[in-house]
Amino acid sequence: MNRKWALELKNVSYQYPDGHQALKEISFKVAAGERVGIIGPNGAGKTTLLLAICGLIEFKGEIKIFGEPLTSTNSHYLRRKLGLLFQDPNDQLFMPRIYEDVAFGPKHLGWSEEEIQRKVKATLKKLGLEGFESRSGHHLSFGEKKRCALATVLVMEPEILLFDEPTSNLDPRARREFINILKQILGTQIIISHDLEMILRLTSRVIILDKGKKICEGETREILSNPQLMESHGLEVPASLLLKSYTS
Amino acid sequence: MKHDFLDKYSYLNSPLHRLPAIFKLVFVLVYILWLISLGEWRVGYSIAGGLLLVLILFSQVPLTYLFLRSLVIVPFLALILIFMAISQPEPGEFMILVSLRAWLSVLALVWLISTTPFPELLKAMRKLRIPSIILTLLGFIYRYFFLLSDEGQRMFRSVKMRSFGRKKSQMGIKTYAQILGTLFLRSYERSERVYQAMLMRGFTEEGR
Repeated sequence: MNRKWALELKNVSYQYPDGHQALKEISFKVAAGERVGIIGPNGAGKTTLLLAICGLIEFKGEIKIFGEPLTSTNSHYLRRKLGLLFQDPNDQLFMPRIYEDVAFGPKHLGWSEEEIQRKVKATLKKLGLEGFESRSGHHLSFGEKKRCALATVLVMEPEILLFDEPTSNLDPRARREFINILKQILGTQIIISHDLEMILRLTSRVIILDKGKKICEGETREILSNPQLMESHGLEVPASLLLKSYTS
Repeated sequence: MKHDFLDKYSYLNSPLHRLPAIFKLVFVLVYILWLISLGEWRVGYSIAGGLLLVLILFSQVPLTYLFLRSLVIVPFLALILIFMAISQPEPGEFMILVSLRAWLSVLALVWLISTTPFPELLKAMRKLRIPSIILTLLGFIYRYFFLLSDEGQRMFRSVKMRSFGRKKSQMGIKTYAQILGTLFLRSYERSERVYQAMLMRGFTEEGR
């Protein structure tokens, strides 16, 4: 089968400076256009894995992005293909105003001022954030901050999107809206989350991580409906799948 | 959390608030230079003080608020005055001159911050060709000052919940030192994450 791989990981390991082994020999592949979920208990190494994929930490092993191996010398260039949404939007909204925050990436890509203005405006509109240009990050609700943080990522039109707990701390309405937005975004996506209902709705394949190791990978519904597997790794079968098995 | 303590009145709608930020910034810089050049305080500083008072009244920012804010200079001034009292043979007149000069300068700066939203001020500084690395740093300080104060407030609240009526003085300096240490560590970790977020958006050390 000749598939185009957006992301390939081979024996990726990472050890924290204090000696803690956060990632142990992780290997998997993600096809272009695929949505993959990464699940696992707290401290499983999920966020560290995303940082490694973005070349933000020095790992052992090999990571390829669209076939190109990620190294410390080309990480600046390869990161243009990647968009990472941090768990805490406050880490991502660091400029005094939202406009400047969304324009930060495009400015560093060297786009013209006109193009930046046009793209920023269009991205904010797409996410229902018209009129937020001159607002400050610290005056927004958590849900609004999260959408603004997403705008800072989407404006650069990355080919692979990486989400770290995209729905955590959101109220039900903001969560629903956010999931709908993610659903509309095309392209390769990797979603880390404990929100298993969302993982079930959005992804076709999941990978379970525990204590820095890859436990298994497979079709989302199949893995999420396996109670032994889920519970032995600090997870639970989502309620919607349980209900289905009761009623059928 | 309450977030409006830094530039609380900067979003009022007085004629002076509507004035372009760059006018106000240049005015305050020239005003401070003028204060420094004045050698005689009785007449010169009365005029300077009067001018600032008129500006404050027109800007509708409460006088007491600006006055209290300007007192931030007192500890620094006190140190300088002590040195002057020791080193100068007849310090009286000179001490008044230095005190008025410092206080009026700070009052003018507080007036500037209270009549101009901070992002506008940054834009004006950019027009004055202040290096972008300094502006980026100022922007970060403004942005994360609120988060840091939120984090500090939350930590002190949790201390309150677990100190069961013991007075601050009874908890000892060690507790406070530890809280400050933790706050520092958290800020450091956040700065790492913010830097990663900047790298993800094409930031390079050379900047642009």
